Amino acid sequence: MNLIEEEYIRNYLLTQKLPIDLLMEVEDHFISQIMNLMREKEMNFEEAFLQTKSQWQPELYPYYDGGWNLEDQNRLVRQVRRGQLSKVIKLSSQWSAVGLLIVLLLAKYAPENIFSWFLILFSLTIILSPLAQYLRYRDDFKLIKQYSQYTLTYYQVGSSTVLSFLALNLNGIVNLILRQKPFTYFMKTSIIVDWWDILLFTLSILYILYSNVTILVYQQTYLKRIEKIRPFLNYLKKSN
Amino acid sequence: MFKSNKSLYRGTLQNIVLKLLASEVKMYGYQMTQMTKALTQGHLEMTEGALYPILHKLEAEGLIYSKIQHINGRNRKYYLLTEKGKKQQIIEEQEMKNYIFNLSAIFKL
Repeated sequence: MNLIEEEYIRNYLLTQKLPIDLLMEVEDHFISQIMNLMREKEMNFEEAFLQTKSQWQPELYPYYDGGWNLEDQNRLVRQVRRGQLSKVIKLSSQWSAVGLLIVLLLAKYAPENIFSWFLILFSLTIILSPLAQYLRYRDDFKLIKQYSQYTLTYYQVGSSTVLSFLALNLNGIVNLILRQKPFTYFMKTSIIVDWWDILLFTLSILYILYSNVTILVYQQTYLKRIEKIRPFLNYLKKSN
Repeated sequence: MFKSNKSLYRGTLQNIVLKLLASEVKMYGYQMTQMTKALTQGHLEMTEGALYPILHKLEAEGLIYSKIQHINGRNRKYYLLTEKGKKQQIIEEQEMKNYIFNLSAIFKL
């Protein structure tokens, strides 16, 4: 197969709106399948390409499934995304639970002043970690904007939402500071002075943990994926 | 999913993928579909729509990892088992053998 034919296949797959990390291996599969048909069934390139395209059609045909996402997507992308999303949710939940357990244990057993300092430092560390990672690897994250007409990987969605949640996170910290005393009193004595304070404190710490850990998971996975797709970027056009 | 006896093979795809990788060390997607077809003399054909989601799921779970190699002027993604994947493959293969043993007792194979 010559370079023109390979480019023809690549351009066809780019029109199917596959994320680039998935497109790379689908392209290799397409090429291998076409070359096999040309060799074993003595087809020419056009015939082999049409047969392969027809075989892949159920997986690559985009459609709206009636869900929250209004974008037309093909079955292959939906199934791959489902697996990816469930992994992100699982990891985020596990690490958030660990963080919450640390907070609960310290609220119960640590002196109040130590817990206050821990809470502020812990919250700020969690909130600023995604921003720090974004700044550290900003050249890699800038690729999302440089190639904005493509989806490089679906993990880019969560990795670039760093500043979007900052205001809510800061609101969360204010809630933690204001409602810390009733919460620690409840943890040490099991007496509820104001259930609303305890609820808001718990929700705030859960929100801070879960949202930021989720962004970190997306960012980490995005950075690993970008390394793999970097050679393919030569075939893509940068945005103006 | 599979092109024959869908309901019988559903749920075994992960087992099949892990076994192929344990046998061949590293494989790419098209190679897996062709090997499955060859080993079963065409009775079992893994579709692309079944294979790639499971590969990405196994990679997300840390059972396999991928690496890109430059082959014949293009980039090819190979999959390999992680240490966790090797242990999981042994467990799943034993479960599969127990399952087949139990079925053979019922169907007198």
